[in-house]
Amino acid sequence: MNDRNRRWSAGVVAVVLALSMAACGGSDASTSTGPVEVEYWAWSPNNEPVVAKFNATHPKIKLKLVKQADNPTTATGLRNAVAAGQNVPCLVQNFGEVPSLLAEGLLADVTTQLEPSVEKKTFTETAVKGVTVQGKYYGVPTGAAPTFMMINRAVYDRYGIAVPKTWDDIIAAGIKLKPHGVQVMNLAGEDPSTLVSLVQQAGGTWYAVQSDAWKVGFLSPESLKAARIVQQLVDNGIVANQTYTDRPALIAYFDQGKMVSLPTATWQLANYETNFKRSIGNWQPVDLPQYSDATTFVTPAHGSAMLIPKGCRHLAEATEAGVWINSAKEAIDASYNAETGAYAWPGAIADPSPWVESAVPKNLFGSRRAEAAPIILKATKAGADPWLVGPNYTAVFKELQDQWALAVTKKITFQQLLEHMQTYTVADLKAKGISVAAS
Amino acid sequence: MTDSTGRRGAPRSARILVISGLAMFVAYSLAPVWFLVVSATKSQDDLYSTNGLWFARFRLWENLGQLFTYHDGIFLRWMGNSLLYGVASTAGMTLICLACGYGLAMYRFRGRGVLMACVIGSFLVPGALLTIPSFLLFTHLGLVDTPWAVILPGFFTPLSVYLAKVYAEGAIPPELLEAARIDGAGEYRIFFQIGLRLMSTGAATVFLLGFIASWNAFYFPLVFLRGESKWTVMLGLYSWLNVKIDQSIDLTSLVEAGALVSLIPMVALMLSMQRYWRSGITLGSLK
Amino acid sequence: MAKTLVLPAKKSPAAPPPSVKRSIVRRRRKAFNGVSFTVPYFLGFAVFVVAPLVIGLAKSLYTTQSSGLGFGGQTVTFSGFDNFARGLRDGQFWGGMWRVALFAVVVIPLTQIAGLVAALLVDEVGRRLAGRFRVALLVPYMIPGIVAILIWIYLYSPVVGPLTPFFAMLGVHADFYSGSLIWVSIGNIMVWSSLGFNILVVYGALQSVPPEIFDSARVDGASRLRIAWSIKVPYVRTSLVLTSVLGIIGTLQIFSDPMLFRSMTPQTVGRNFTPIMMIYDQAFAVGDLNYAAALSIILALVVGIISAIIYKLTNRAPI
Repeated sequence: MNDRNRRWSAGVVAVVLALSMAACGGSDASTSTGPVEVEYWAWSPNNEPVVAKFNATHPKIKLKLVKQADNPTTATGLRNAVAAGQNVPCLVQNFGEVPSLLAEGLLADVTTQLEPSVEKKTFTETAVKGVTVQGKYYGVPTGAAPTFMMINRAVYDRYGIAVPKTWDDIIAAGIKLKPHGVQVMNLAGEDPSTLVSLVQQAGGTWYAVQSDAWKVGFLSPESLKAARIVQQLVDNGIVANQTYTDRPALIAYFDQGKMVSLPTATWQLANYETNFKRSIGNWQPVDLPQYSDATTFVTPAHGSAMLIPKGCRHLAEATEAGVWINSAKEAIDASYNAETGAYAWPGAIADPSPWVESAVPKNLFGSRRAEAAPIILKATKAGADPWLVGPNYTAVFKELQDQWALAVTKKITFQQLLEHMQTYTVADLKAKGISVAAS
Repeated sequence: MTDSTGRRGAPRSARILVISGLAMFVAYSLAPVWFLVVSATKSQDDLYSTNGLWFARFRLWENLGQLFTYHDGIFLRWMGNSLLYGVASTAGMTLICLACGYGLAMYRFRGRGVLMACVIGSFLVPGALLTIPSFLLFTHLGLVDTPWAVILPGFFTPLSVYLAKVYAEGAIPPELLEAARIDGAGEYRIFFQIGLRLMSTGAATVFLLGFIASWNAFYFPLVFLRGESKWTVMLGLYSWLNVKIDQSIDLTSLVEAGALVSLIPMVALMLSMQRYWRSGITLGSLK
Repeated sequence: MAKTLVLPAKKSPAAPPPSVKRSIVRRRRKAFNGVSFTVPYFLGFAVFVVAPLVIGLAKSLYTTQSSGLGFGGQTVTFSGFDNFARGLRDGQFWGGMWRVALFAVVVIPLTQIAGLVAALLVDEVGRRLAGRFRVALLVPYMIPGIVAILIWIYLYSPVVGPLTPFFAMLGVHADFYSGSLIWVSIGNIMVWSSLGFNILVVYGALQSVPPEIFDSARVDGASRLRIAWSIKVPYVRTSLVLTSVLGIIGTLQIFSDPMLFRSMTPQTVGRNFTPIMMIYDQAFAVGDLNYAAALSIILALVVGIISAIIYKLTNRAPI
């Protein structure tokens, strides 16, 4: 009897298991009437008015906004949805580099759907690069936010230091500021983006394709040039390593004049406006410093994408909606955020000038507020994107973070960092079965 | 119990020692919460620039007002969701796990050891291993993006089964069950009328721990609920907290006020359960 | 195995089985009913734990490879125990394991002792007062992780937090984000947030100490300290083993606290700092789910073996 009991319960378990495994199937009842529904995942606030505007003006497509918690959550959600192959959204706010996500098998090829917009020059060439892999398009270009710099002019003036124009000026300024207990920049230990931007600004890239194989170039001249700048910043002890996570400390440190220059982008300004107290009005927007030997003015502008995932069943409609959101005047107008007084930055189109004024907060720059708009527009025009990213960039970036943390705390040199990254990246590509060109 | 165990009538000096020892533990536990209380009273622009341990301009009511009206009062909806998921999942869990623990404790049957080993063994399974497989499974079961994805898995908590088994062993005299049987009561009736009653103290603990776990649950809601109207309070606060990372707004002061408000249901539950813990044999009976 | 009622095991000697006269049918029925109480749980267990686990286990036996430039899709091949062999040889993984194990050896006894002492103290005061203390002590356990992190980031902050100046007053330079203090910082957060749970469980066990024991002890003139040490503590040993094992499991799977400190002191907390961090990294950054699955299984086995050893040593096996 006991045996029978056991068999019985084992049987139930088996049945439930089988049911749970097998209870799948094409339950997706696709409706043939009414507008096509395009599900749109985003975590940034204030997408609702844009979606409402779209739906009001596009009777054949219904955009359905599904709010996500944040960037990593969206990534997890999309990976799961694509793996399950069901209820896959059709538009997703960007959370990574297109080539890496494509290599993961997450993206759909929308070359034919996007081609007309590219031909019409709806987007800038730089922006289109951000969605292009091997001549095909994977997603809708969203471009990049222009980079410039803001400096605490009051402190610069107090110590009689001129506005820095080059990275060498920054280093020189740092050396002069150091005796006063002021640091010229902050290099957060978790964020290697300063190095990445410098390589981009030098016109370099860490990946290139050479006859169907990846050429990894961490030791390229551009890369070494960028490394020399950060190495000097670190060696002279003129930068801090204040983490972004300890926000009260970060803000106190910026606000009390202990750190006087930071590369920034439009979307960050509203935060400084809210949180700065003492230094508000003392800041000045200036051009991003250049390399001393630069012949033309360049800002890094590596474009990103609004993603269209693999498994989306309405590629044309998704592309149409994505293009509209990122380029139509009425879409950008609808993105006005009453809390910050700014519009979503139209980073993919050639002329963002109608919306620049609103991106500049009222008090942060004090009497120099009028200087901001021209500087932002100049940075936009000078945006260049030499950057190419390989299929394993997600892992490579993590490793770069670890190495960066060691380098900014002087545990290793930036030369060693680049050498390590070269070895790591090549080994990781090979381990994944991907071709690497001999260098 | 107090009197009979001689826990009272201690010499004055010993009593002072005990109370001051406890006061230290309470201070250690509660002092960090002071920061949360103070922060909840500050406006965003004072939050980072004033001393975190003392009040600046008192903006608690404004923060609460904003908390309950922000985004059409979505926070209240999250509280409601959390309560719904929490109560449903914890109630089901308590019944299922108590029954299981009772069965494991009061009966001997072939395979009991194996089942018990499964319970203990499943403590060990790292959640990381289950994430993607669970998602595939839930997709097939049609659970994704429904409240069930959050409620159902909560029913099957190994720790609760383990606690229930131990409580049952301690709280239910087998002679009583045998007597009930002789009176002709069925096994299920015995469970519902005698077993559950005797286990009520343990059940209160299982329920409380379950509710706290469910209220603070993060991963399952995060993975399985899409769209903020279905979110729980924790998920909502998480998203508000992280919005500052790559967006131009900073909602941290709302998060602190919201965190304080979100403690209320748990504290209320705990206080309302005090009386269950009074009965003679208390939770544990872990010998 | 006996087919009748289980009698509460340890204390009372197993009651004689019901008289042989009782029909076998009846015994069968009871055994059947006994199983049926556990059926709902184990059905759910099968669906929500076993099934995903089996899928996960299966993953660990395969290897995924790309080709060309890496954009042409991936091929999955059966590779047997290759992933496990690789995991067993992976210095990064075992480095993390050792790191966390050393930490556990220090922090778990501390947590247990703190919980035990606090529970003994709560047990010493009147019941009304005990109830209030219990609520107060459980508050940290109720605070959600994300908010706890917010709190401790502030308190630890060397720039704005109160702790660094406090220790400076005592003449101690304490930077809680520095590499040398990081385990202290993490350990403190763990003790703080789990103390209430341990107190709840241990105090519960203390409540069930039969009062008569105290009476006889007091007649013998034992001091309160002595009563606590030689009567109460042995009585709650099973609870302590339970909380310790849960602590070990929690510690070896520690993830969110080190992740927080990764941004504070990234030069110390690398991507593979703890085993679970490495597993997440493999799964979601490197994208090698197969290897991540194998590492999860190795981790689960290690935790399982350690827990089993503790149960064996303390003679408090739960089964």
